[in-house]
Amino acid sequence: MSTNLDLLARLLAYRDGRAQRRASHCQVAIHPEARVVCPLAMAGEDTTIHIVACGPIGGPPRVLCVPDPRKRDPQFDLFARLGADWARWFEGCRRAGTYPQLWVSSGAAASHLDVLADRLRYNRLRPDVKRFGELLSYATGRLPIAGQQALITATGALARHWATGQQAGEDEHLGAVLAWIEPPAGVPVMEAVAAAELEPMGAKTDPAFDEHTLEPLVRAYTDAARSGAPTAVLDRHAANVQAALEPVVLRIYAATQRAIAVLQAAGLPPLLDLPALEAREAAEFESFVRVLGRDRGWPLALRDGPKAAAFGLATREDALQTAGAAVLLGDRVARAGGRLAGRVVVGTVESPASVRVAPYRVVHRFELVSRQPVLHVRVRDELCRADDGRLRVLVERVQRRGAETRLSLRLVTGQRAVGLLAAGMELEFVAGRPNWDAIWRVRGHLKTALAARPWTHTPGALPAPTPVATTPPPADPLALVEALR
Amino acid sequence: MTVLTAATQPSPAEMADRAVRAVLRTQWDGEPVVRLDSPPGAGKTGVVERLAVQSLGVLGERCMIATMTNEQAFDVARRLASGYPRLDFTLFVRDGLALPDHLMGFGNLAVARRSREVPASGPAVVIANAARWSWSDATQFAPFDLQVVDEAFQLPDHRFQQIAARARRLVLVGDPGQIPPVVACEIERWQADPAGPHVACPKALVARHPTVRRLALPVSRRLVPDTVRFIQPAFYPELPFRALSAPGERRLSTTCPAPASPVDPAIALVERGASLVQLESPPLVSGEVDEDLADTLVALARQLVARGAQVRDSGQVLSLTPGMLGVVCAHVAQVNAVRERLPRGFEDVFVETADRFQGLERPIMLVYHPLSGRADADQFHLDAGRLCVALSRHRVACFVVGRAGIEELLLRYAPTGERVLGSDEDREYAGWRAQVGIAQRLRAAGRCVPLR
Amino acid sequence: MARNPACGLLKSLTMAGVSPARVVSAVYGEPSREGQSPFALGVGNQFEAGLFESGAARLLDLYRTAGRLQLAECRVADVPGLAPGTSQAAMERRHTVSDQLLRRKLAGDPAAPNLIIKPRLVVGLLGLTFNIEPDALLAADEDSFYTPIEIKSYPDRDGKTDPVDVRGACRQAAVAVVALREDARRFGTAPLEELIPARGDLVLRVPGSLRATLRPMTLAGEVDSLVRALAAAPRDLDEAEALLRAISPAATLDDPAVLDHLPTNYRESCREFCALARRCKERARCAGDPVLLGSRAREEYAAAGTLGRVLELLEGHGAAPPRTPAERRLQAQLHEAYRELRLAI
Repeated sequence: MSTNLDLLARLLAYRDGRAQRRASHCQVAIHPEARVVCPLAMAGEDTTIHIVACGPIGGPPRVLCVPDPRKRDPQFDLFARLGADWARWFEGCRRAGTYPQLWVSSGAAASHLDVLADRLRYNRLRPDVKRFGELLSYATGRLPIAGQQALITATGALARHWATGQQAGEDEHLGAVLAWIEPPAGVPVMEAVAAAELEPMGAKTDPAFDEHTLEPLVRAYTDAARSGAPTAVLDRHAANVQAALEPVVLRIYAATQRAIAVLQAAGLPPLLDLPALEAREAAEFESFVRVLGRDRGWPLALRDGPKAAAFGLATREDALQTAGAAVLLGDRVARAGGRLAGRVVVGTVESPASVRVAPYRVVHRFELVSRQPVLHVRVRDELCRADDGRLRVLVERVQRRGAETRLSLRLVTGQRAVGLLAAGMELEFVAGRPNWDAIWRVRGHLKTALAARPWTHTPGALPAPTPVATTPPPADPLALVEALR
Repeated sequence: MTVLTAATQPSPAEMADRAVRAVLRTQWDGEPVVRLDSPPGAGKTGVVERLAVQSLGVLGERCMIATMTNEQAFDVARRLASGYPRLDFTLFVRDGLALPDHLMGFGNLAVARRSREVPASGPAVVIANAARWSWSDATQFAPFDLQVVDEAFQLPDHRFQQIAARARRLVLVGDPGQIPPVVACEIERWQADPAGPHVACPKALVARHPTVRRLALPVSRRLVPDTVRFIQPAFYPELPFRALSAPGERRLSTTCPAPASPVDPAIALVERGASLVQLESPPLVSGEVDEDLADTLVALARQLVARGAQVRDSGQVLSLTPGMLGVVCAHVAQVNAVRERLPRGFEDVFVETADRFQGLERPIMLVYHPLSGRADADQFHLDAGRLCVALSRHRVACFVVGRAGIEELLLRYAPTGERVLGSDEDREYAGWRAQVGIAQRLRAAGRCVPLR
Repeated sequence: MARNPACGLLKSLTMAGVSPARVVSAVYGEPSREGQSPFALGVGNQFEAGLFESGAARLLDLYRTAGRLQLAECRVADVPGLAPGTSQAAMERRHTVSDQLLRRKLAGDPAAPNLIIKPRLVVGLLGLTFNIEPDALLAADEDSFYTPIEIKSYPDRDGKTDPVDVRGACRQAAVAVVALREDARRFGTAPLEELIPARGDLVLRVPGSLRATLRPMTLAGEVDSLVRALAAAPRDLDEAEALLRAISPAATLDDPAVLDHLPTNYRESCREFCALARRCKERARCAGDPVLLGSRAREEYAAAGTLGRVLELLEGHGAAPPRTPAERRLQAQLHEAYRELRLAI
C-alpha cells in the first residue's frame, strides 16, 4: 500500500540525487547460511539454466554452465548437481531447526526459478532432477506469501528500506536501484542509472548480446557436436560459451551480494517481530520436509482444487495480516505512514471514567481526541493499543468536529493490566496486532470445516430436486407467507 | 389465445410478486440450489425473509440465513422479528459482540452466543454472518433444510465452501453489479480459475455447475424509471429490470423561495422529472479532496432544505429533512471534508464511502463523482461497482457533482489491459465502458448543468 | 497508438506510417534495442512451424481436443504456400487469395477452408495501407465467419502467465479482429459486430515443451480501444498537422528538434511497448514532470505541476508561497509527511 510517505521519500530521493531511506528497522532476515543464486536462462527456453552462479553471502560463487541447455542430459546433470548440493544444505537446515534462504537479484529471477520449479518437480525421467525441483519448490512456493523469508529478491529487499527517485517499475532493475543507493561520485544519478540499466540484471541476457556474441558460440558448439568433433574441440567450444556468459552472470551475482552488503552496512535494528517471522518460516519448512518425506504425491499442485485453494488463501490472508501488522507496529516509518493514512489512530485521552454497573463489574470509558485528517475508524470497530496488545477498546461513537475527531471508547480487555488511563496521555491504536497463533487455529478450523467437500464444490451433476412430498405446491406461496405476519 | 394488451400486461408490482412466488416455489420443488440475481433495491432482503418464513412457518423446516456482516445480520433479524411476531427467530453471534439497542425488546428474537444455544432440532430460523456459521460447531445442532445466503456476491467462494454443506438446499441471493469481494492477498495462483477461492460464490457456482437454477428479480422498488434507463444498460446489461413506480409518481418539488444559488438550475431539472442530474464545476485538477466540491455538495443540501423541498413517494408527501439526504464519496478524506462543512442541524445527513453505503438507500442522494478533479483515470476510480452503488441509492433523485472534463479524461484513458488467460473478465474495461456510457447518456439527455 | 491515445508524438508518427523503433535508429541514430534474441525467435519459429506442418495436423488436433472442430473439418488453406515468394507481387497475390477465401466463407460456401494460414489483410487508414498478417484464421463449418488465432511461444502458466505476454497477444489478436472487420466491410456485409465478434484464440506453449495450449479470449476492451483510435484518426491527422505547423512551417518528422517539441503523454506503461520511452523520460526529467516518480505522483502533485514547484513548496518559508488553495493544501500535506519521516528515520 503506497502512502503519502512513500511518495515523499521518492521526492526526497529525486531532490537529493540519492536514495532516501524509508524504514527504521530491517524487515528482512539475512540468514547466515543463505545462498545467493543467479541463474540465466536461454531466451525463449524458460525452463533452462544456461549458466548459474551460486554462493554463500559474502563468498565466492560456484559457476555451473552448459554450452547448450537445449541438450537434455547435460542440462539435467546441471540440475542434479545443484540439487545434490542443495539437498545437503536443506538437510542441514532441517537438523538445525531453521530454514533455507535464497537470495536472487530481482522478481524476474524469482519468476524464472518459479517456472523451473513448476516443471522440474514433475520430472519422471530423473529422480535427482525431480528432487531439485521439489527443493526449489519450497522457496518458490513461499514467494507470494507476505513476510516469507525463504526467497528474497535483492530489489525487493532494497525497496523496502530505500526509496529511489524513479518509478516503482524501474526499481525492478537491481543495477538501477544500487546506482540510487550508492551513486558514483561526479556523475548525475540519472546518468548512472541509465548506464546501469544497460546491463542485464534479471534472468535473461540482452538480445543484442545473444545475436552478436552468444548465438554464434552456441551454434559453433552444436555444429561441432553434430559433426562428431573430438572431445577436446567440444570442450573448447563449451569453454567459449562459458567465457561469454560468465561476466554477465558474475555481474548479477556481485550486484546481489552488494545489495546484501548494503543492507547489512545500514545497521538497521531488526524488526521486533523478525524472529517471529523466521520462526514461522522454520515451521513451514519443517512441515514441507515432513510432507516431502512421505513420498505420497506432491502437495503443491499446479492447479488447486477448492480445498487446497481455501487453505492457500487462508494462509496468504493470515500472512498479510501478521506481516503487515508486524511492520506497521515495528517500523517507525511504517507507523508514521499509518498515522498519515488514518490506519493508526493517535490521539489524546480525555474524560476517563469508570462506572460500576454490577457488584463485580466496572466499565471503563474514555474519549480519544485525534487531529488526524483521515481516520478509517467506525462505530463498533475494535481497536488495540499499538504498544500494548493487552489493551483493547470498542469504538462506541465517532464525532468529527472541524479538524478534530472525537472517539468514545470503552475498554474491552486490559482493565487490570493497564490500570486507569490518565487524561492527557497520548495513545496510539491499531486495528490489530500480529497474531502468530491465528494460522494454526484457522488451519485447524478449516480442516474441520472443509473435511467433507460439499456437492457445490464437486464437479459433476447437480443433486436431484427433492420436492415436498406431503402436499401439492400451493397456487400462491406468497399469500401463505404473508398470512403469517 | 390470450392477446396481451396494455390492460393485460402485468404491472411491475405483479411482475415483482410473480418473481417472488417463483423463488418460493423452488423450495416446494425441492431445488437443491437457486441463484437469485437482484438489481439494486429489488427487495432481495424481503425475499430472504419470505424464504425463511416459508421454510419455518409453512414447511416446518430448519432454515439458516448467512449474511456477510454483523450489521446485515442485525438488520435481517430485526425485520423478521418485527414483521412476524408470531414466529420465533434466533440471532447467532460471537460471544462478546455488542448488540445494538434496536434488537432488544423483541420477545420472539433469541440471541445465541454459543453453538449449543442454537436450536438443536425442530423447526427454526437462525440468522448469523457467514464467519459465525463457519466457526460454529455443527455437532451441536441438527443440519438445516434451507440455507439462504444474503449479499452472496460479496461472499468469496472459499468462505462459502465452509458453510455450503450445512443445509440440504441453498439459495444464493445477491446483486451482481456491485462491489465484488475484497481479497487483499496475492491471487495469481487462482486468477485463471473462474471458480477460484476469491471469486464471488454465485459466479463460482455457475462456473462449476452451469445448469444451476437461475432466477432474477425483474423489478426495482427503489429506483425510478428514469434512473433505471441509465443504470440498467451501464451496469446490468445481462439483467434487464424495470422500476416499480410509474414515471412521475415520485417527485421532488420546492415550496418556498430562497436566495438564488448556482445549484438552482439542477434542482429545477429534478423538479421537472429528471432523477439523475450532474452538476459541473469549472474544470480543475484538484487532488483527492476538492474543497470547492465539498462546499457545493453542502450548499446543495442546504438549498434543498431552504427551499422547502418536498418529496412525494408511495402516495405520501414529506418535507425533506437532512436525515433524508445521503452523500456518497470515493474516499474517506472526501467524506470528512463534507461532514466538516455540514452546518448545525444537518448532522443527520448520512455521508459515507460507496463501500459503506451498500444495502442502504435515501430519498435524495448527492454523489461526489469518483473521477472528479483527477489528472488521470485509474482502475480504482473507474470501478463499475462503486459507481453503480453511488448511483443506485436514491428513491427520488440523485445529484452528481463533479468537475467538468470527466468525459475527456475517460476518452483519453488507455486501459492497461490486465487480462488473465481463460477469463473473459476485463473489469477495467467494463468499468471504463460503464462510466463512459453514463457520462455520455447524461449529456445526451441534457442532464449536465454547469456551475459558475 | 491505441495504448496511449493522448500522446501527440505517437499519433503524429502513426499518421506518417513510421514506427517508434524506426525513429529511434533513423532519426536519433541510436542503436535499436528492440528485436528479439535469435534463440527466442528460433523457438517461436519452431513452435509455429510444428503447428503448421503436415497440413496443420497438430493445430487442428488442438482444436479437436477442445471440441471446436470435428474430425472431418480439416480443410486447410496455406496462403504463403499458395502465393510463395516475398516480392511485392507475391504479397499482392497473397492479399488476393486471402480475399477470395474470406468471400467464400461469407457466401456460405460449405467447402470454405476451416483453417487459413497466414492470410494477408489490408487496413486502410487515411490513405495509408497497413498490412496485417494474423497467424491463422479458424472456422468450423457451422461458423458464419473466421476467428483470428495468435500463435505465441510464450509459456502458458495459467494465472501466473506473464501479464505483459498476455496483453501483447490479446492486442495482436484484436488487431486481427479489426482487420477482418475492415475486410468484411468492403464486401458490404453487416452487421459486423455479430459476424466478427471481438474474440480471438491465443495458442500458447506448455512451459518446457513444444506442446500447445488453446486459450479463447474475449477482446472487447482491446478491439474497442483500437476502433476508437482508428475513428479518431482523421481528427488526429489534422491535429498532428496542426502540431507540426505550430512548431514551424517547414517542420518535418525526421527532424529530431521537431520530434522533441511534439507533446507527449509519458506514462509508466510506455516502456512496455514504445521504443521512444527513454527519450520521453529524458524530456520528462527536463520538464520536472511528476510522472518521473510514478502515476500516483502525477495525481498527487497535479496542483503544483512540476517536481520543481513541489520542492519549492516543500522548502516553504517565503521563497515561493502557495499560489492556489490546492497548492496550500499540498504544502501542508508535504510538511506533515516530511515531519513524520524525519522523526521516524
